[in-house]
Amino acid sequence: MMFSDRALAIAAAITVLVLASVQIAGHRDRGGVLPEVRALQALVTQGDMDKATALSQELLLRHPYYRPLHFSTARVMAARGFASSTLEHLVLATAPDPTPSASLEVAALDACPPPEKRGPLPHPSDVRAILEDITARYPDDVASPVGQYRVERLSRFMQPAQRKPEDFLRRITDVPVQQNAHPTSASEYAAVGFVLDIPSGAVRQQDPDGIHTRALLEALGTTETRTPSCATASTSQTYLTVVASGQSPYSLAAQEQTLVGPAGSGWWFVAVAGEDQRVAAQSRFCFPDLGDSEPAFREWVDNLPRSSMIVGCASGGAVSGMSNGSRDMLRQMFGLQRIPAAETRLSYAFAACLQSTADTVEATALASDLPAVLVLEPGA
Amino acid sequence: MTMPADTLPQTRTVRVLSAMERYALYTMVFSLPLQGLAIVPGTTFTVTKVLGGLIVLLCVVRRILGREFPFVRTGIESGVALFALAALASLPHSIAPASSWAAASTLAQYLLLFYAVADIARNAAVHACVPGLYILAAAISGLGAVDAYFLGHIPATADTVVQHSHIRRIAVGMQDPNHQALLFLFAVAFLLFQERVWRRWPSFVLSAFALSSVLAGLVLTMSRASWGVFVVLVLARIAVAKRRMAWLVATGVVVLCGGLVCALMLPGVVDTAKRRALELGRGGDASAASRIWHYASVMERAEKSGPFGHGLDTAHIAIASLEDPLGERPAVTVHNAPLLLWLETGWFGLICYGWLWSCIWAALITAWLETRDNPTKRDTLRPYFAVLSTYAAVSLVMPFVYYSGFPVLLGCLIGATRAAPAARRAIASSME
Repeated sequence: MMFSDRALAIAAAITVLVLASVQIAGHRDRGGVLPEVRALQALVTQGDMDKATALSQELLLRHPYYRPLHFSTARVMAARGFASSTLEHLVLATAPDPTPSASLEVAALDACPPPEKRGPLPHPSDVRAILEDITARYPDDVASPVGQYRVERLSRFMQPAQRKPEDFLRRITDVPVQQNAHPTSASEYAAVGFVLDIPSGAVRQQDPDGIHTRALLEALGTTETRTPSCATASTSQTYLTVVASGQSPYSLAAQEQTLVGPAGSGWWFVAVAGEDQRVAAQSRFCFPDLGDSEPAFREWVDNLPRSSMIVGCASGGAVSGMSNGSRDMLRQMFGLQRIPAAETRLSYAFAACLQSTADTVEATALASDLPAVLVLEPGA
Repeated sequence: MTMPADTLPQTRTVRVLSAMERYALYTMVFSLPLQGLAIVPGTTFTVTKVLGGLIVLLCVVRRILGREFPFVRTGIESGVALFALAALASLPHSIAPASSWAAASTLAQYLLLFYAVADIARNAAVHACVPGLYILAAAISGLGAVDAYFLGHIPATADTVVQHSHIRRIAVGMQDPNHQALLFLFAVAFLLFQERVWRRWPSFVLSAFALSSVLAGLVLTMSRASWGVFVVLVLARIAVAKRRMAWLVATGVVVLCGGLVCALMLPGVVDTAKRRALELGRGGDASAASRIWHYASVMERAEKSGPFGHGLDTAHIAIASLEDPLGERPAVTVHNAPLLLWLETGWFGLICYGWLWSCIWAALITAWLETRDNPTKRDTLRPYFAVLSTYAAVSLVMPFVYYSGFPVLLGCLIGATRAAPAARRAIASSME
């Protein structure tokens, strides 16, 4: 025989392995974008926006923080003329990775998904092109307080060396602040500092009257709510804020103290002792289907002092990924009514008393790129 | 009567063409479990697609040069012709003509590919290479999945998390973990049912390593249907073994030792696999739901689709308005190939599809009966029984109709059946 079959088979195997190696090397060169997102990118390039919209919504449920997906979705939204959604997805597409040292390592008490790959960042010039297009076509949307907040985040990505978030803060004045508002509390400064990634001291220094601070919080949909009764026995002068957003670390601020929670997936729960408002315990749960989450969570709660206030917060991805059974359990245990639907990918925070669900308070983010900020004013 | 290709008098050109065909076939077989990675650089074409076209071209040219009809006799012509007729009959009434014509074109390409592979696979030497190549490729895919899951050096072609249960599904090779699992099952079928891959110590060690890799890959796809079929394959292997007790004991030992090692070293994976298996019994599992209540609704719709159906590749449109008991529209396709074809090609298509399957089984069984004196040929045919059964079983819970691997493996199977009786006749004539 002219060619032995063994030689042909070896040649065939080598051919495929070489091609696969080329493909893997090319994948690294392309920054490792997921194949399904490449399919979306192809649809966007072809201009098939109907299919691209449907595919992007489907993919966002599976990869809520995947940056190339958000960038492609932003392009789709820009093409369809949705300025606010374009900015929302651009912010998520350019979100930086949280600094590991900035967040607490809180071990989850149930099974959590693996840390999601967030993919490569888009090129700043691509982001700038979309932003300029949107600004030219929809100046009012971009000039709104939320629009300004988003543009600030994008500017920080495009021109990191030239940005001073404090300067941005002073530009936020368009929101009508409540006339009888109280003096801005330390925890509100902390919350804004957390939202803008700057120290709360810098916020206070730039905005001693607190006008801009409260304006920004109101722009993000935050309204003050009364602290649940269990936490106010001896802390009537303490404000407390909770911030949950995307893949950034969660935070809890009380007076000058800020507790930074874990970044990434899962719910973060903090039990605040009623007597002195110190953190009595904290934990993280991801609530997968068929895990041992529900008995483990009930056991954790049962071991807390009965007079505690429990504060919980979750990113949009954590809310989307939890099981329906766990969602019902939390609703029943704490009287929660505003846990966002899975497909909304909205962050969420609540504070509730263990003894009673009568005065549970909740906060939901206005959009998937915005934080849920819960500001608790002291009780009477 | 058709003689095997390697017994025909051959010119140099024909021999070169024949070698090129075999090289292309081996490349295509090796690329099947790695399709998503085996892409022609600078294009979006898979090696399978490119070499499929090449094989058809080479085969037709070689046969014409050899003064033969361009397409080999396969013995299943009536099934193929009737199914092709049903597919064509579904086109005029299609609810999405463009999709249907594109699907018809795809099926026509698969048909040509099947005939070309069936011709090449009449060469007995091909069957000494195909199983080994396929097993090796599947083992590489399984190892790649292990690396992608634990180390992340190799990019997964599918890396998804099941919503709500946070279960990660990995595949290296295909973009659908369920599809990858089916390809792993074919490798398992070759490994379990072909005795010669276990005969010598080096082969035994390599096969054991390949089986471990394939099983690891199969676990990481988190495909419950494929896990079920795998268990059935193992039980079937034990049932047909001459030394059943030895097989049973060996299987028990492997399961116990393997399970113990995994439980100690990879408790997270074991827990995840357990949760994935238990999900099936939950009412809220969308995947299971898609395969249960969906069937009833789709059957109702298929009954109304008339003799010729809604047209090829229109199932997703035909069922788009279906609502589950909660009033939601699940974004899933029909996870059952016969039901899907019933919907698309009507009851005429369903009958033709059934006839095609009966022709394939008849060809395989006839070849099996004709080779009762030839254990080597039986060893070649046996894994194809398992491959075919695996595809049939998985087809009942998966929507793999427009899938290029099937015509390739079916061509190998039919080639093996056509080679077998000829070999037997050769033995008989030599005895005379």
